[in-house]
Amino acid sequence: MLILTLPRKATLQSWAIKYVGNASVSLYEHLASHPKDEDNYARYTSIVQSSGMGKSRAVDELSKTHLVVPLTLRQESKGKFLRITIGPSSDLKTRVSGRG
Amino acid sequence: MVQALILKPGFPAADENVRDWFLQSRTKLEAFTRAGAFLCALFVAVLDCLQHIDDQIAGIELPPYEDQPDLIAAKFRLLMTVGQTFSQQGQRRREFYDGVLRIANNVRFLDIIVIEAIHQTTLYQLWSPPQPSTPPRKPMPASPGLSFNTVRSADGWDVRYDLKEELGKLMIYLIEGFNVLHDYPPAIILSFDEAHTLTEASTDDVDGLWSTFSELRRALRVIHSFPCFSVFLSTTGKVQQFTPDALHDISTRLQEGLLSLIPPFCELGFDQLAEKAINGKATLEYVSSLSFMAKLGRPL
Repeated sequence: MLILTLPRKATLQSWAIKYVGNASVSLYEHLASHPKDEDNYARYTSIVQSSGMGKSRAVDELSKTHLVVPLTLRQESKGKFLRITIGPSSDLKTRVSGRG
Repeated sequence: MVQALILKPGFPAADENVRDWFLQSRTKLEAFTRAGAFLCALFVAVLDCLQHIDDQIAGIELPPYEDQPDLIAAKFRLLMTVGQTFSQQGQRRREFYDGVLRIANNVRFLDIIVIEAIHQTTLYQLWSPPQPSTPPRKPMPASPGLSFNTVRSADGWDVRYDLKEELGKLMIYLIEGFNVLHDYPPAIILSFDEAHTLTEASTDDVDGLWSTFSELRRALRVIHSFPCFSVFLSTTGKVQQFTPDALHDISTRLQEGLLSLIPPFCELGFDQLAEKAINGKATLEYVSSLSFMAKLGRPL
């Protein structure tokens, strides 16, 4: 059994490159589409998706144009490992870095 | 083929002190008090930070790929993200939340007064009005309030921290001529990442089922008249943890349809980084290559 660490550098780089898509704009529009006179319990929404879908990145992108207070409440002890089956090591490198 | 365990470090790193502070509650009342105290402290700290934001970010060396921020929002983001790594948040952000928790710890041990929403349904049912020609508008629950250290003095009630007032001060700073009776687009957004850590349910002998999230949500209800929105992000949770259907919600007002929840956001999409496979040009070999397929699906 191998224990691998996903390249942190790739993740950090992915946050540094230009944002692709308009999810952050859509998120803001989603919030803004619920005026205060609606009978909402509270003004909140949720984004529940798999890791790597870009939830945190979308919010970070939103924070460049609108005031966002970020709080990360991750428990490091839960879901720490992912079991996978991989082919040759070169395949893994390609999949993780996204480069051919 | 090889079996492997991949270590999944999270990014951005956790605000450990905030998470641990929220998760210490042993009763429903304590969870609600902590949530209210945290929000009070957060709004006080954010206002103070924004009033001195240029001093706060002076001397920060920008990453080479980032422009000098002009907007106050971008300046605050810089403060919150500078120096963050996989293992921990940057020093500026840690200092900011240390300050928030210092205030919150002072606030939460003060006397608390909660002006709860008045449940009108029972009264309405007892009264049994005659059948109108058109259905009456459903009765709206009164707006709740949350104050700390409320003391009766000769001049009336002296309130040291009031959640609505603290947020109101911040709104006045952010929006010129702010009036709580008017409607505004979202002016501040609280983002709770990996928020499923707050949803573990507990049962209180007195109050029944509750969670840190349910009590935070009750505190957010207090400020629902303000353009302050929250977003709860979760990876391993379920949509129902944050937006349950009405019948399964802890809140009676939601169960009875007096109030509703804003639907979850699900428009993140797939294939944002995918290359276009143009008909007639892309070969089967090309679209089945690793370099092409690696850009499909999730963006990160």
